[in-house]
Amino acid sequence: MTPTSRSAALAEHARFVFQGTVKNVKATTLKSVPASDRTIVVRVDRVIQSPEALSDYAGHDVTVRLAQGERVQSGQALIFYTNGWVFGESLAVQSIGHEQATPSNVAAMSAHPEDPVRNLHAAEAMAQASRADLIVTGRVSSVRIPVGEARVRARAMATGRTTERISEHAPMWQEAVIDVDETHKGRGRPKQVVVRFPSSTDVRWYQAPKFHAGQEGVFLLHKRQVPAAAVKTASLAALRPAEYTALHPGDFQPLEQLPQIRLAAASAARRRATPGVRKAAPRPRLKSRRTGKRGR
Amino acid sequence: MARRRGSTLAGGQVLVVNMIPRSLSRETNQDSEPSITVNPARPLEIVGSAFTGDPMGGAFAPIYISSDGGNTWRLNSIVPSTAGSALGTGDISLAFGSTGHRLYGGILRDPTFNFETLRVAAAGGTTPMQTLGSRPDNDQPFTHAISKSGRDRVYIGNNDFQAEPRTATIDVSANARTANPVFKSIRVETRSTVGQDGPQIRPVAHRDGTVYAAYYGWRAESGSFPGNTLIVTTDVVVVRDDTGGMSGATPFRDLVDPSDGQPGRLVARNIRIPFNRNGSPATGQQRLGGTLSVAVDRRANQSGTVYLAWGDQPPQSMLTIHVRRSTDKGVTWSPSDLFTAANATNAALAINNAGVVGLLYQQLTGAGASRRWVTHFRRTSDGANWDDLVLSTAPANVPAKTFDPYLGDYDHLVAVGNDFYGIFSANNTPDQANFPNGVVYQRNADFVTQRLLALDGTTPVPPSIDPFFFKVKG
Repeated sequence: MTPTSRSAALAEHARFVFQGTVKNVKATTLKSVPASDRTIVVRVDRVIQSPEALSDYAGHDVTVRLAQGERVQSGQALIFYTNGWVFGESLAVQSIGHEQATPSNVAAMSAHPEDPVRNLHAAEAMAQASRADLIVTGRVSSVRIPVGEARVRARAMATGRTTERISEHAPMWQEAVIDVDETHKGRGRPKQVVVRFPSSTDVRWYQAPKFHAGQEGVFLLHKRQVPAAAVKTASLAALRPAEYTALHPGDFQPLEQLPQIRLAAASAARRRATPGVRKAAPRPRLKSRRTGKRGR
Repeated sequence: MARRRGSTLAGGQVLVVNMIPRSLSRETNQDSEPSITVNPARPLEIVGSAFTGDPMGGAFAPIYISSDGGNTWRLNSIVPSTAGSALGTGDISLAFGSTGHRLYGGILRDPTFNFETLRVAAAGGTTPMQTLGSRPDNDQPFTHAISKSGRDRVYIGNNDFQAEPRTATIDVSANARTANPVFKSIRVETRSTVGQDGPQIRPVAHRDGTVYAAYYGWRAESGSFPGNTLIVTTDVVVVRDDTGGMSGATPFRDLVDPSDGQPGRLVARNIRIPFNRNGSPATGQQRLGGTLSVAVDRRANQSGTVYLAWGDQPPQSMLTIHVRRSTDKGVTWSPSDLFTAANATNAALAINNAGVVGLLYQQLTGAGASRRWVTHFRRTSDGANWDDLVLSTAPANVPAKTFDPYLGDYDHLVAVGNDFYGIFSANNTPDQANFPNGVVYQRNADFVTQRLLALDGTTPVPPSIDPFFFKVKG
């Protein structure tokens, strides 16, 4: 695996990626995390990819729990690929691997060098693009209540009693009609696509994109995005498997993300078209390779 | 720089702690709908929960855990979820067994929202909670556990849509410590419903084997849930089982209403509650859907004393909390309210080892832009005289909600020994006037400028909804 592809494989599984300097081995920054052979204290020099809440860790010490077999030495400057572990008076993260903090490695990881949150969002958009069944650019021409759901609501209003269950977690499905400019992934070249989305602001659904007429951008659409077993619970009018949904916050992207989304979609298509290659390719190695003396 | 202020616990004083740890000083999540449990065998170990996702979007949602009696908190991500989830988990409620240190829970798991029953041997460890069972079509699991003779009896109230039209259900395990514990789903509703019951099914158990549960039996409805105008006509029902919820094939039928001979005492009949789709400015951004809590006197030979709090909507109140008491195992109830709070929700009751009753609730005061959410903790030893601690008072329009529920469809109160431990969600603006009985912040905050601060101690962070722990010495 080339260094770049290895970085990409690690980054795909890591939420918090940073460049840091190893200050102490067998050390910790939290009372609740005892020091061990696998805990080290690292000064964060630069946050490369991060959720918003942790984007300001540059200049702070964190505890890193090394993966099994991972070795580092004090003074090394490294890129750590990590996920969360303990959030207390300080931060402890679980490493899934590290690399030398060379300029080329750092540059390869930073599509948006000054914005680690944007880097993470970009990575999430890429993941959503590879999972999507249909990717189109276009414009929402109208938003409506699905026919089945409208019927249920009308009956409820007329009789003063709904025959459907009442749950605060109900999605309140709506449909957005999208006039398609271009199809970037998926079969056919539809001129219009209908996508269901939950209008509910309940905790279960609030992060799903809420479409409105005139909205323009990249739509990443999915079938069977709601697990089959959950459809009945979720619906006033049942969701059919063939219907497109957009439930992940990354399922709508601004147009400027299109080039990267195209790349991700093309990459996913190549993987599907050449299964032999996929079989032959080594599985991303998530345990760290040892840096040994070369890292000194 | 951050200023922190707190009161001591001497002489029945209260400790209030913002539970967001310093390492998450930048967070702005709406951490609503909290629950709490204290390990009775090790009371310094306390676990809380809320709508808090893993800060890094990991495959497990966090619990809040304290190992020092609630003074400091950290997040430990051990609740099953899904990778990349910003939500973490849907509804969650946790409970320690009274011995043995095991933590149990019921959740609606992201992304399926299946009802899952959970267990872990060590809440502070790295081992994730084990899923003991999973099924779809459910709502609002609410967990209670009690240990007896080396066994953990676990009761999880839940609204099981698979049991339509009588959905009020309690999942019971006679010994959840075993490797593969069996949970039996007990349908506690026996009367006709409008098609379902309300989501609140609240169990509570006494060591002598007496178990109560309260629920809203939905009888009729008008208006529209999608239109946010739904009004439900409901009974408030209390059921009881005298053998730990294990009375043969039909448990929870030991309390019968004299009016119809059916199991389940109708403590309040044909009351109306709003069941909101969304909160609105008029409701302080909080959606309303009733509130329900039940507590039993845990002292020996006192299992016949039970307190019940419920909400309804009389004229001129968005929701009114009523508290009543039974001293004969739920057969008869005080003819009028022992306590009433208008424009209030999120009632939570507990009774300590001295028989003192604690009541936590959140009340909307004022009008228009002056509306405030005021969180009260009251105590009574006789049901007639209630003291009052205001734990938090903060503007109801700040911050703007990011989802429903704004504060949560419930908060939570428990008692261990003579002490009360509670949790509520509230506006986290660091203003001393908002916390009349003091508060301790772990996250960076400046009480002079009344601003939250990021990790660097200087960058302002906008206010959000945080979980607050409190402890009142008995």
